[in-house]
Amino acid sequence: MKKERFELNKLTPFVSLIVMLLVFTVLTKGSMISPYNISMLIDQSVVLIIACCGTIFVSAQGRVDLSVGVNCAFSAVIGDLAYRATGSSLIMIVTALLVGVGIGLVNGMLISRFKVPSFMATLAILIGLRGIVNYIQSIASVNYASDVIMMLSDNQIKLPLLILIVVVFWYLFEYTSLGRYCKAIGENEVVAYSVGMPVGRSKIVAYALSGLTAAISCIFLIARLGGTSTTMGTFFEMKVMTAIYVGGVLVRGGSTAKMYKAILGAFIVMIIENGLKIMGYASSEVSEFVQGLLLMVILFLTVFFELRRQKVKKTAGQEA
Amino acid sequence: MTDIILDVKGLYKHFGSTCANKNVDFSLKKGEVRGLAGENGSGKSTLLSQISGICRKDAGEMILNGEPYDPHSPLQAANHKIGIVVQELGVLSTLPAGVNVFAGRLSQFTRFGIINMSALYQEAEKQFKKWGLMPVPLKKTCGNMQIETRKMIELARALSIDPDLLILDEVTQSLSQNNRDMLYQLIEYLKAAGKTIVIITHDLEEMIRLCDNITVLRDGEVVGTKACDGLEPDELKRMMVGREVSCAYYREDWVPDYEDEIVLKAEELSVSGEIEAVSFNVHRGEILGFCGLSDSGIHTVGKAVYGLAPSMKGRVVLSKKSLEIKNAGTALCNGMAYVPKDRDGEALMMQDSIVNNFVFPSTTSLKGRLSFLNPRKLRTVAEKGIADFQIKCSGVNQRMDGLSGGNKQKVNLGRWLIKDLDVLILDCPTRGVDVGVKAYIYQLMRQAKAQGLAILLISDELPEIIGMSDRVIIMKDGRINGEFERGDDFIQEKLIEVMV
Amino acid sequence: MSRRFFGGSHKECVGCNVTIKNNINRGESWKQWFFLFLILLLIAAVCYLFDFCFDGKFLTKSNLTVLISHAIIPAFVAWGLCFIFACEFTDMSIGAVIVIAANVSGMLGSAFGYPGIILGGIGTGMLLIAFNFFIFVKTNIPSWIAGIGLAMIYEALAVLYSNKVTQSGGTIAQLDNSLRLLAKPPYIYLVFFLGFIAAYLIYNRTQVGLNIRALGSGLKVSADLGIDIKKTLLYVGLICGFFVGCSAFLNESYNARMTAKTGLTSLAMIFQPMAALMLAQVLQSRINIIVGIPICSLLVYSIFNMLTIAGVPSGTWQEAILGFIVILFGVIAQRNTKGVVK
Repeated sequence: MKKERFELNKLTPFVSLIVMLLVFTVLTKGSMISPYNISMLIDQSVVLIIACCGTIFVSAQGRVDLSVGVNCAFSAVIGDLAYRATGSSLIMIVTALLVGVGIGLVNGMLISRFKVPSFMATLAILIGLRGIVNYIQSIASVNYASDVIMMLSDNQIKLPLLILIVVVFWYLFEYTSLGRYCKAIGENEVVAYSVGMPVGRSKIVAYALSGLTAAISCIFLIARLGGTSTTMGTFFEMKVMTAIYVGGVLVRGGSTAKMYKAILGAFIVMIIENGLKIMGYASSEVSEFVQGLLLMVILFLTVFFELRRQKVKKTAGQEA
Repeated sequence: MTDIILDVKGLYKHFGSTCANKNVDFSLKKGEVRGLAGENGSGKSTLLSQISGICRKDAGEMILNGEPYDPHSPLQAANHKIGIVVQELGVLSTLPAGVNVFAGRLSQFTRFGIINMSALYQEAEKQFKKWGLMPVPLKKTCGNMQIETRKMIELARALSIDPDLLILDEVTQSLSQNNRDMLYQLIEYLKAAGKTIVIITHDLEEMIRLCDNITVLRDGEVVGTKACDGLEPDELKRMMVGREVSCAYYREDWVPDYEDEIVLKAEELSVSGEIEAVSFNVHRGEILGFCGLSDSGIHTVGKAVYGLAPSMKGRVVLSKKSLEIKNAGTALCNGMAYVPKDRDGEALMMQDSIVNNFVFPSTTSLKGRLSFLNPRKLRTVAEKGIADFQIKCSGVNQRMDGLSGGNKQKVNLGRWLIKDLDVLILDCPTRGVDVGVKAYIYQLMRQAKAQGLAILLISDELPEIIGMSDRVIIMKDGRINGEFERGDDFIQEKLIEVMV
Repeated sequence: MSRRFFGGSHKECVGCNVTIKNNINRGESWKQWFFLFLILLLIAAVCYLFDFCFDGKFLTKSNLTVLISHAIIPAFVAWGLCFIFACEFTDMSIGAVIVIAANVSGMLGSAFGYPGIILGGIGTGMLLIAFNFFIFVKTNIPSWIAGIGLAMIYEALAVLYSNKVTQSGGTIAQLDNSLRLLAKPPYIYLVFFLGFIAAYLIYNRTQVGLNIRALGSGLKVSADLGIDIKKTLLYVGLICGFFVGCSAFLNESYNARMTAKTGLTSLAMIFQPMAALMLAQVLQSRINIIVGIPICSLLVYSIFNMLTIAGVPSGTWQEAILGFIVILFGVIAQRNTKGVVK
C-alpha cells in the first residue's frame, strides 16, 4: 500500500503527459501527433523548459517566483538597448543575463532578508517592472533581432543548447548540496536552519537562478519571435508555475520537487495550449480559463492525496 | 446527593501506538484540593486534557455531578462550570486582553449584534478585582505580553465562569512570588467556598503544602492516591519513579571524569529576555548538564552555543582552532552538533525519506568533485547508519513520519554521531521515547564521552542530569544559579534547592 | 516624512479601541487622537508644499474632489482585505471579482435603477468571495495560489461573456449618466460613511469580527476556545465580499463601464488597496486599522495624483512606483516578523 502510493506520485507526470497527448490526439483528430506539429511542439516548449529549470529551485522551497515573465521581458528590453548602443550581440546577451540575475537577486534579498512573502514581493516586481518595460517600449521603436541571435532559432543550435542547459541545471538541482538545501527548506525551513544550513544564501541563489533562466529563455524567445515585442512574457510566469505544479510538485515543495517533473509538466502545458490552438480556441481567455481550471484541479488533487496520506499515517502509526 | 463532583472510571487514551492513559480511575470530592504528580509523559496532562475537553477519551466514562459528561471542547467544559488553565490553551494573541477573558462567551455583552465593549471591559475589570488578580492592561492585545500577564488573563478567563472545578496545570512556575502568594490565597478561598481544584506542579513541596490529597501517575496508570498530611516528598518521588529507577542505565561511577583540555568556551552569553551573562567551559570527554525549570533559559543556551541566536551578545569559542562560532554554519563545519528539543518540528524533515534526513548534516563532507553528491554513496551511508544504530524501518526510502518516536530519535542522534565531532549539544534527547530507547541513548552518550566528545546535556529531568553528567549548571531566570561537580552533593534535593 | 511615520511604533501593543473612554486608559485614547491629528497635519503640510511647487494645481477644489472619490473606492477594497489578512489568508482574485461584480451591477442597474446597482454589486461580490473561501476551506489549497487560479477563471469568464455580448451586437453593461450619482459627491461621502460605520462595527464590535481576528492567533487555539473555524471563514468571505461589492458598484458608477481583460491584469487592481492596508497595519499600534485605512488610502492615492500632476506617465512609471511602494510597505510591515515566511 505504502509503496504503491510512493510510485504513484512518481508516475503522475508520465501518466498525465500520455493522457493529455491521447486526449488531444483524439480531439484534434490526429493532427496533434503529425510530425510537423510535434516538431512545433518541441520548438515551442524550449522557452518554457528553460524557465522551469531555474524556477524549480524556488518551487522546491515552497515559494513562488511570479516575476519570471516580466523578468524575461525586462532583460530582453534592456539587452535590446545594449545592442543598440554597442551593436554587439555578445554584449546584448551578457547584459540580458546580468539583468535577469540582478532581478533574481533583488527578489531573493526581499524574501530572505526582509521576509516579504514571496508571492507579494514577486508580484510587486511584476507590476513595477511591467510599467518600466512599457515605458521603454513606448519610447524605443520595436527592434529586430541580430543575425547572431537569430541563429538560435535553428534547431541544430537550439536543441543542443537546450540539452546542455537542462543537464547543467539537472545536475545542480539533483546532485549538489544547493538542490538539497532548496528541497530541505521546502520540507522544513526551521530544520534546515537549526542544522546550520545556509538558508538565507540558498534562497537568494535560488531566485538568482530563476532570474538567470528567465533571461536565457528571453534570448530564445527573441530568436523565435524575431525581436522584442510589447506583450513579450505576459502570462509566462503562470505557465511556468502551472508546468511545475502539473508535473506533480507540491506547493510546499520539498523532496517532491524533481527536475523531470518540471520538464514533463512543461510539455503537458504546451500540449494543452497547442491542442486548444489546433481546435480553434486560440483566444487568450479560453487558454487562461483552461489553465486556471487545470491549476485548481491539480492543486486540489495533490493537496488531497497528501492530506489523505498524512491521515493514514497518523491513524496507522505513531504518537501525535 | 453525594459529595463527589467528578468521577472518572476506566479512562483510556491512545496517541497512535503510545498509550497515554490506561484504565485511569480518578474521583474528586467537593471542596477538595487535589494534586497530580508524575514524571514527564506519565499522562497527567492527558488526563486533565480529557476532563477539560481539549482531547476526547478513547474509552471509559466520566460522571460530573451524577450525570455522564463527555466534553467536545473547553467551551463545553466551561458550560459545565469547569475552569481550565492548562499549557495547551493559550491566549488569543491578536485580541485585547479583556476580550480574551470572555473568549467564546461574548454573547452576554451583545445586543442587536453589537458588542458593548465598555460593559465588557468593566466586567473584565470586575473579575480581576473580584479574584484579586494582578491588573493587566485590558485593552491591549495579548501578543506582546509577558507570560505572567498571559497566565493572569487565563486565570481570569477560568475564574469568570465561577467554576465548581478549577484545573491549574503548571501555573505557579511562571508566576512571581507575589502572584504565587495571591494564587495560594485564591485556592484557600475557593476551597472554603466548597469548590474543587486540581493542581499540577513540578514543585512537590508546594504541592504537598497546597493539596489535601495527591494522586500519582506512572506510565499512564494511576499508582495510588495519598493524603498529604505527613507525606514526605521522597515518598512521593518513589511512587512517581517506581521500580524502574534502577541505576542500570545511568552511569554508576560517582566521580567526575574528564580531561583538562577545554574544548569550548562560552563567555558572557546574553540573549535579551531569555538568558543573561552565561559563561562556562566544556572539557574533552565531559558531560556538562544544564538543568532548570522550563522557562529558566536552558534551552536558549543550547541554541546560543550552536550559533542559532542571532541577537546574542557574548562569545562562543572553540578552543582547538580558537574559532569564534558566530552562526550555525560555522558550528556545523567545525565539529559541532545540535540535537534540538522539538524533534519533529526543528530536527527532522518528517515528510522526507530517512536517507535524506540521515545524510543531511554531512552534506558538505560527502560531496565529491564538482560538488557531486553521489546518490549511491548517500544510500550506503544511510544504510550503514540504520544497521549501526538499530533503526527499525522498511528501508532507507521510508518516510520519517512512518517511524516510531524512538527510531526517529535514533536517526536524529545517529546522523550526527557518524560525523567527526568535538562538541555535541543535546536538548532533552530522551523526550518522548520509551525506556528501551532511553537506555540506548544513554549508552550512545557514554560511548561518545569515551571517544572524547564534549557533551552539553540540557534537560529538565533531574534524574537524567544526575545520572549522566560530570558537572551540572543550574539555571534560574536566565542566569546561572549554581554549579555542582559529580560527587556526594549530587542529589536531587540540593539541585532543586538551587533551581527554585 | 517616513521617519516620523514609522518610527517608534515597534513593540507596542495595539490599542484596541479609539472611541471608548476607559478610566484606566483615558490618557492613551488622547494620545491616539493626537497622533491622528499629527498625521493629518503632516499630510496637509506635504500637500501644501507640493501645491506650492506645482503652482496650485494640486489643492484645487476639483482635484481634491477627484482625489477623495478616488481614495474612497480602494478604501472599500482595503477594508475587505483587512478582514482577510486578519485571519492570515489572502485572496488574489479580488480584482477579477470587482470586474465581474461591476459588470453585474451595471447590468442590473440599467434594468432596475439604483437598487440594481447596489444589490448587484454587493450580491455578486459576496457570492464570489464566499465561494472563494468555500474553496479555500474545502480544498486546503494555500489561499494565495488558489486565489490566482480563481482569478484566472474569473477573468476568462468575464472576457468570454463580454466577447459574446459584443459579438451578438450588444454593448457591455454601461450605466446611464443619470444613474452614476453614487460615485459623485455628496452621495459618495454618504456611501463612505455607511461603509466606515459598518467596517468599524464589524471589526471591533461584533462577535464575528472578533472571531475573525482570533483566527489570526492560531487555528488550534481558536477552535479550543469555542470558535467554529469553518463558519467563521465563510463569514470572512461574506464580509469581504460585501466591501468588495461596494467598491465594485462605486467603480461602475465612477467609470460607467468596466472592461474585462485577460493575462492576470486584475491582480494589479488590489495593489493600491494592499499598499494602503499595509501602511495602515504599520500604523495599527497608533490608530485603529479601520480608521487608518481610508487615511492611508488617501495618502497612497495622493502620491499617484501628485505624480500625474508632476507629469509622470501612468501605466509606465506610475506602475513602477506602485510596485516599489508595495515592496517598501511590505518590508516595513514585516520588519518584526519572526519565523518562516513563504
